[in-house]
Amino acid sequence: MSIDLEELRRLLVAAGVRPEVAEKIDPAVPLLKQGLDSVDFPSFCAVVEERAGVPLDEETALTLRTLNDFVAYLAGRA
Amino acid sequence: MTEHENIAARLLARNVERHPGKAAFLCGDDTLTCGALAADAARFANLLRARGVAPGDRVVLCLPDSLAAAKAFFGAMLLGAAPVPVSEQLSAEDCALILGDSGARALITWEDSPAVQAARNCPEVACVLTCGQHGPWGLGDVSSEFAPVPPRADAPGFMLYSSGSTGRPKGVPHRQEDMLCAPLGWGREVLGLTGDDVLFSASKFSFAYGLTNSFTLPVVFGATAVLFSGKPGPYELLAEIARHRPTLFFCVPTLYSMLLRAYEPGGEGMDLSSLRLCYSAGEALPEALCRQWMRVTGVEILDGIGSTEAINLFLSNRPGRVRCGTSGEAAPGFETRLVDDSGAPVPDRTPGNLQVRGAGTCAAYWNRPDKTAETMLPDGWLATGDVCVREGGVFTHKGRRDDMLKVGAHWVSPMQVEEALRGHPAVAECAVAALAVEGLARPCAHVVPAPGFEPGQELSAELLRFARKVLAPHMCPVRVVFHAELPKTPTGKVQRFRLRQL
Repeated sequence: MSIDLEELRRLLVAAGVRPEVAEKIDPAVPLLKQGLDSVDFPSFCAVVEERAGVPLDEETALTLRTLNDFVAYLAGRA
Repeated sequence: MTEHENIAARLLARNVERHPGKAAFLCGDDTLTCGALAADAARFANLLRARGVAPGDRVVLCLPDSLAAAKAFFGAMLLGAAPVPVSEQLSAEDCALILGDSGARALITWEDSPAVQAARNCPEVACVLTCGQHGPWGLGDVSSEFAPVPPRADAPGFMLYSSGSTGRPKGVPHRQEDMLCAPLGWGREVLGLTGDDVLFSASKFSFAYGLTNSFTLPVVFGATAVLFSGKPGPYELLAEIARHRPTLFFCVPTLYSMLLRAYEPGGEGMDLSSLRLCYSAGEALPEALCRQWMRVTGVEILDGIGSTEAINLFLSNRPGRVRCGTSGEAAPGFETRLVDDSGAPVPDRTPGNLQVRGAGTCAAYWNRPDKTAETMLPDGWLATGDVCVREGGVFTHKGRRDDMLKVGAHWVSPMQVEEALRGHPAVAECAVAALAVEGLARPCAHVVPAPGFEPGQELSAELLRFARKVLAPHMCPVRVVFHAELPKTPTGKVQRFRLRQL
């Protein structure tokens, strides 16, 4: 499964994150440091799961901090 | 102990006798010693009495976790009045509801709090005190000589509020001595607390879990507690831990999952080396989170379940034998039983309704005989509303008997979320049920769109953003699922349980 950065940004918006926030997210910096909170994060995980078509591995998902982490993890599951 | 002994007076005096200069509380740059706590609690009691508060009266504390809150809590108890801690985040409307329901005589809050406005509309509230970090202005000028008043047998010793399914919170009164049960059982036997411990709770003192961790345990053991007045975000909590070096950390699963994502071992200002134990309650700790926490941090994490009604943990894991994904065994001082809907016991490995019995549980809700009859059963048993499976004495949480959700350790009533969502023109019908994301229950909105609205990602994002504007964070749906129709009973009642995805 390959989901690129731009698609992840679209998924952030689908998760309810404001488009202007999603656009500015630095993919190398933890999402929690860029305004995502305890509601945005699970929303984002839920839409990523839906898009990927499979549940994220729970233990690994807990270590995904940045958009780059998500890209690498999803690529590794291909 | 005599039956009418003032428990606050005994605990405060014991710490003054043993170590008056020891820190009872740390908050930001400030330290409150045991001696200063006892003196300022006595000043609070004098101040309240001078302002017309009598033994047995309720005193609502709408304050952040702060030195002022600790002084006010124990001060009200010295007077034999009942402190009623509520969230400092309450809206004026919700605060007015609690002031009215509790029949509060006094409100203690911070300057500029919406609670002040709420109190103006409650004629019974005779006294409003506004506080900074250290207490109300002029507290230091009040006498610290105060003869503790024995608590009245017919009035609560303290009271907390717990959310109800219709959104109307229920008062959960306790006797003063109830606060000793959690320390003497769970605190001593499970946590192994001593006076050398430094405790830090991310849960605020308006919750039973936070009240016990931040106020009761440290005062009973002569230990020190860290109070954090701010919003507990993961980076803020890590900074507090590095700064005050607690030995025990109490938190909830939602925040543990965010802490894991924020924590970088060896990172600047990220030092968990002071911790000997972490505790999780408020909602079941997912197995993956439990394992990952211990792997990444190297600190043991114990999961347990308690309630406001029990003012204690009634199930708990034990140090040295953590079973991730379970709530552990019956906590010290508690009997447990699992029963089916007819009340008959269920065998091991069969889901059943958890009932518990132990000292210190609430005998009756405040002015709610209907709810009391449902929850406080004959012979001292308490219906917890939790569904569990037991195997070899170890319990695993399987959800709730009702439609209530536990999100980030807050009760969420589906009805309140549904009502808010129906305020959006695209929502014709809606039902809210739990959805598991990374093992944690979150609200998911199941929506039948109104004619003219196209179901899809755009509408879903719009509804999620709408919810963020009108609901508290823990109530916000994390996902929207569109339906042509919702599952209903023949009488037209929505069957939320059929929408659960756990």
